[in-house]
This record gives sequence, C-alpha cells and structure tokens, in this order.
Amino acid sequence: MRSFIQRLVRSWWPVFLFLLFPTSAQAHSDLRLGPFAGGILHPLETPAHLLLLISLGLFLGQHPLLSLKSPLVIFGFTTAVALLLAAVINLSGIPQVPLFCLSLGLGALISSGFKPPGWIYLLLLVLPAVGIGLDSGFGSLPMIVACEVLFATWVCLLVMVGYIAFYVSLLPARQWSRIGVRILGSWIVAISVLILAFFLKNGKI
Amino acid sequence: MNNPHKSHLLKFRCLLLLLLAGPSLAQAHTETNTLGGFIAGVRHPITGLDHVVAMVAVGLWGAYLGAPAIWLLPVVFPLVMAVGGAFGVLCGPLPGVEMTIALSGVALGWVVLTAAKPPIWIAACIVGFFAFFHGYSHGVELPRLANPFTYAAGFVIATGLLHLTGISLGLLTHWRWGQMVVRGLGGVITLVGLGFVFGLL
Repeated sequence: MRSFIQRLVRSWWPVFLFLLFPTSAQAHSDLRLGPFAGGILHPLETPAHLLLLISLGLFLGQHPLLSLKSPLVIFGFTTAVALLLAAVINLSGIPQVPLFCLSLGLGALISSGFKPPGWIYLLLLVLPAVGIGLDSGFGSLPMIVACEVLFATWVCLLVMVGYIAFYVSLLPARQWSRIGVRILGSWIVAISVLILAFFLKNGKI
Repeated sequence: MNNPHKSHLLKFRCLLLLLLAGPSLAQAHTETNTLGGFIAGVRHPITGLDHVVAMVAVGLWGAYLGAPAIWLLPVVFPLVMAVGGAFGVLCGPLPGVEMTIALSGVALGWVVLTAAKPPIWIAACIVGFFAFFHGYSHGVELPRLANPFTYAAGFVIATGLLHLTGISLGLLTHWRWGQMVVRGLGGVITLVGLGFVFGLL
C-alpha cells in the first residue's frame, strides 16, 4: 500500500502541486471585437473577396505547384505588399467587377480541370492577391490601428487560401473527389456570371 | 404487318399534339419569395416543384449514364443556367419560359424512365437547353432583390445540391432492383411535369 502511494506521488506530483493553487476560473476572457477581429472578418464579410479566395484555394489545391509552398509564399508576399500600399495611399477600395471577373476565370479553369501554363498560373496567383489587398484599405484610420487591421486581414487571407488549397490537394485521386471540386468550380462561374450581369444591368453590385 | 417504328412515331405525335393543346394552362414556375438574401435564393429551387423534379432528374440521368456524364451534366447545368440567368437579367421577356420549364420535367423524367443513353454531347445539349430556361426564370428576379450576391449563391448551391440528391439516388442503379426504382422515379417526374404542363399542379 505504501509503495503504491509512493508511486502515485512520484508520478503525479505536478498534478498535486497544481491542485494546491486553486483560483477562480477566468478562462474565457472578454472577446474584444476590436481592429484585429474586424480585420479577420473583413474578407469573410465581403462577397467578392470570399468568392475569389474560395476560387483561388480550390484552384491551387487542384494544381499544387511544388507542394503548395511557393504559391502560398508568392500569394502571402503579394498580398502583404498590396495591403501596405492600400494603407500608405489611404485607399478605401477598388471596383468589385475585376474581382468577380477573376473569380469567373478561376471558376472556369477549376470546372474544366485545365492546367494553365506557368506564367498564367503566376498571374492568377498575383492578380487576386493585388485585387483583394488593394480593396482592403481602411481609408482614414490611425496608422497603428490600420496596421493591426491589415495584419489581421493578411492572416485571414493566407489562412483561408492555405486551408482550402491544402485540404483540396489532400483529396484522394479518386474520381468522385475531383468531380466535386469541378462542380464547385461551375458553381463559382454561375455566381460570378449572374453578379456581373446584375452589374451590367444596374451599374452597381 | 404492324411496324413498331411507325407505332412509336404515332404515339410521339399524339403526345406532342396533346402537349400543344394545353399551352395556356402551364404555370410550372410557381411563385416564390422575392426578398433578397441567401435563404430566398436557397428557397427558390427547393420550393418550386418544377425546379426540384428537373434538377433531380438531371442527377438521376447523369448517374444512369455513368462517367463522364455523371460529372459533366451537373457541371454543364449551372454553367448554362448562369448564361440563362444573365439573359434574364439583361434582356427582355422570353417566350415560352413556363412551358419549357414544365416540359423539362416531362423530357428529363422521360429519358430516365426509358433509360435513354444518347451520346454524351446530345445529353449535354438537352440538359443545357433546359438549364437556360431554368436560369432565365431565376435571373428575371435578380434585379428586384436587395442582395443579389447572396441570392445567386443560394440558388446555385441549392440547385447543385438537388443534382447531388439525384446522383445519390441514381447510384441505386448499381443494383437490379435499384434500376427499377430509378426508372420509376423517372416516371413520377414525367407525371409531375405533365401535371405542370396541363396546369394540374
């Protein structure tokens, strides 16, 4: 019995030490929906950004180049430059039509399963990054707050494209999973075409 | 000697005459919520029985035809539907939309019922033709909506999910009894389509 207690104390002493210092639970601190959360949510709340990020993620996952490392590095770098540029020149946004056009192009490539040549691949990586980056400016915010917002936006953009691309690239080579991605591509084309038609009709989105 | 080919042709002509006899009765495209937003977009294809039967029939037929139709038809449909939708947004009224949507149920149900296996491009053309009119009916509503993006996303996703429902049901064709079930569903879809054509639904 004694040896059992000794063994117990020897192996579980950190737990007993922890129990000696009870405090009231403060695990769930106040969720501060400040600039950082605003920056994180910005791409998710902007339809043109959301559609383009999903398209880009699916496209990269469908044709992973060098196991996704270099495309994501290029995307991350270009987005950071575009976001900084938007902050420096106090840009509050760009027209949404080019972003929907890019979604349309990416959706068409996804649904057709066509692998574009290297330079087009690079262009399709850089243009969405520039477009979303320049469209994420916050105009007249103080510099420090703007930097916090833009950093959060950058994290969200990178994580979102990275997650989608990573999981799509992990899909097995089975036909059904590839078919699913192509069907999603056709949905993206359909949504983009309708929004662009709406823009042509009303002059706004 | 009775020629079976002539007999089929006669039946087809009779059916065609019957269909032409009741064009003014067709009200296939049932009215749905015209408010903007995702839910309205999702509700449009799902609450319109005419859309439901046509989308499910596309999935069933794709599954029946096997690869590559099983993925080609659900890809072609949204693409052409979007073109039809854009036409609905930008251009004026199109004649015969309600009747064509009603006929889509009849035609797509019929090809499932008869287990028709045409060349893939013909199947894609048939599906694309009807997709244009279904898209047009969605597109006409788009300019009236508060949030066109969420509406478009909602109805495209709902349409796709209806296709997937059809494909899932169509996978029953791997079994002999399943083939009978799927063809039976095709028959039901044909009847529903005829109900819309003659204004019974």
